[in-house]
Amino acid sequence: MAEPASPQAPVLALERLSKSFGALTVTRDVTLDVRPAEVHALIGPNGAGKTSLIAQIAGALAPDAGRILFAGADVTRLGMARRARRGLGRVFQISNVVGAFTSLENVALAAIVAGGRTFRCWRPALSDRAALEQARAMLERVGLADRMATPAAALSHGERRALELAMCLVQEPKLLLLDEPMAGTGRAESERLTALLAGLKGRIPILLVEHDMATVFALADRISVLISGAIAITGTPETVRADAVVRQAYLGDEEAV
Amino acid sequence: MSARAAGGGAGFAFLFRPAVLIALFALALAVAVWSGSGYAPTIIARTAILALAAVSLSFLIGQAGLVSFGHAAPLGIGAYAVLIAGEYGVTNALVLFPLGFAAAALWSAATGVIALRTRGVYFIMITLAFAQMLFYVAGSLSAFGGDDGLGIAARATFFGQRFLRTDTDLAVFAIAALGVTLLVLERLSAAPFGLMLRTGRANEEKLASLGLDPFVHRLVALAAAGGIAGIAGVLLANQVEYVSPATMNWHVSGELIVMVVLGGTKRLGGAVLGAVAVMVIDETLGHFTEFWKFGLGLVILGAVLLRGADLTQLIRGTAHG
Ligand SMILES: Nc1ncnc2c1ncn2[C@@H]1O[C@H](COP(=O)(O)OP(=O)(O)O)[C@@H](O)[C@H]1O
Ligand SMILES: [Mg+2]
Repeated sequence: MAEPASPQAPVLALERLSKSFGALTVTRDVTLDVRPAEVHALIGPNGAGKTSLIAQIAGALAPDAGRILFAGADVTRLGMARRARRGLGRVFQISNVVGAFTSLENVALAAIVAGGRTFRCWRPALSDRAALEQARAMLERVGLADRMATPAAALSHGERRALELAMCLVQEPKLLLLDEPMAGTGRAESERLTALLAGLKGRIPILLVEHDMATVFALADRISVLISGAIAITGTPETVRADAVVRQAYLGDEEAV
Repeated sequence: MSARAAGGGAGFAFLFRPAVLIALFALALAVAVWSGSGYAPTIIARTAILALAAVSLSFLIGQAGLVSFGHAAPLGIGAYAVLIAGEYGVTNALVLFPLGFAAAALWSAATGVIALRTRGVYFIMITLAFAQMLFYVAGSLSAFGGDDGLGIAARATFFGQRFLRTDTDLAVFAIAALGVTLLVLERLSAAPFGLMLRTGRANEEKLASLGLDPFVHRLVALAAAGGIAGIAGVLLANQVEYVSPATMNWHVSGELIVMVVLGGTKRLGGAVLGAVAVMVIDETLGHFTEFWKFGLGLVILGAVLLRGADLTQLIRGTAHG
């Protein structure tokens, strides 16, 4: 079943994916791929179906038709947890950390899951040195070294995104799904996050849903534009920027772009 | 909720400690024996036994977020294990306790496989339905007394030794079982196993996105809690020396939930305090009025209003941290 993955083979391939909620079609015959080491940005107006598409890739939402291939295997029918174990890392649009846990506890939790030590029954979870070490190192890497003991609920938007990213990264994902990581962050924070993602670029392929055009054009190798559930165009940033349809339908007269 | 199993809290927090609770039980028993009361050791034994069942339910509700309204079923299974084994001449404690534990755990796991497909209110309903089913099945066992139940052949023995001769013996045994259970469940709660249960309760989607579907963890939690309730059932049958379907009736499940809610689910010791409170109310109000359950109802209402958010969130299954 799994074809030998050549270095050029895409990490993720969506083949003619479709999904409707009653009369509302949120995914319309979408074919898209993410290549190794690529940052592929997915942009489009609000309600275009970006989050729904991410949810289908992650396994939270079942498509009506089409296939999802990940790392050479068909994962269309796999549940969320099993896709995650195969290396799909997801950062949610609405922060989805455990608010009552501290940053360190959140990441240590992720490390314990990643290490497959969830059935340990006797030693306290927070005495798991390996998990704590891993968590500390990862929090330092995402710039949260001084926020380790802070409950996740008390972090700023941007910090919570960084925390989610840290939780994702301890799983050593083969692909990162990022849903609007810059939403709700201030200028300084979004610049920090962009720098963080730039540091990952080239090492982990990323499917990036983002409204912030500065971030998109700074990071993306390719851009796909989603309008009313369908891919209007996929291409390099230059091609997409120049496309008349896209300018009219989405970018409008945003001079900044 | 916290990644650590037990939350902090000042004031009376020490009362929730297993060591303190067990010491108080032992002290109460010592006073009862010293005063020569015949009745007090019985009450203490019963309280410790019900506390044991309540603690196992508190583990389910507080850690895993699984509000079972059928916890009387494994309790009753433990009791019936004693009755049925006794009818076949088996009274050895080394058989009865493992048998009660295993039978109750098996029941909880088997029904859990189905019940765990549901959440929130539906989980409450389906566990209730399973327990009521067992209640009617027990009532139809004419060989074991049907609806009326039957007296047990004899209290449990240890290779022929009658080590549970008095209710004081039984109380000692029940208090010890309660202590061991509190210790084990607290370790389990603080360990990665408990952390996964709490995270699954607070944010199931996040746990799945990290790669863990906590179904098996929940099933194990159900089996363990059921098994402990089974042990409580074995002790209960030995104390009353009589077993009937009434042990499995829904209001027993309800009373166990009341104990858990009264004491709070943050710490397992809460269920012990809840059990003590219900027994005290039962023994005091019960003597004054036939309608003591009404009084209990008022106390419960107060407790639910005070801790309301906790329980309603649980029932909705949306206790997002
Ligand atoms: N579970 C659902 N049931 C019905 N409609 C939904 C559901 N989820 C999303 N939608 C609708 O689908 C459309 C696309 O939503 P979404 O994927 O969140 O878009 P985007 O992330 O691009 O803003 C919206 O109109 C939204 O209201
Ligand atoms: Mg969205």
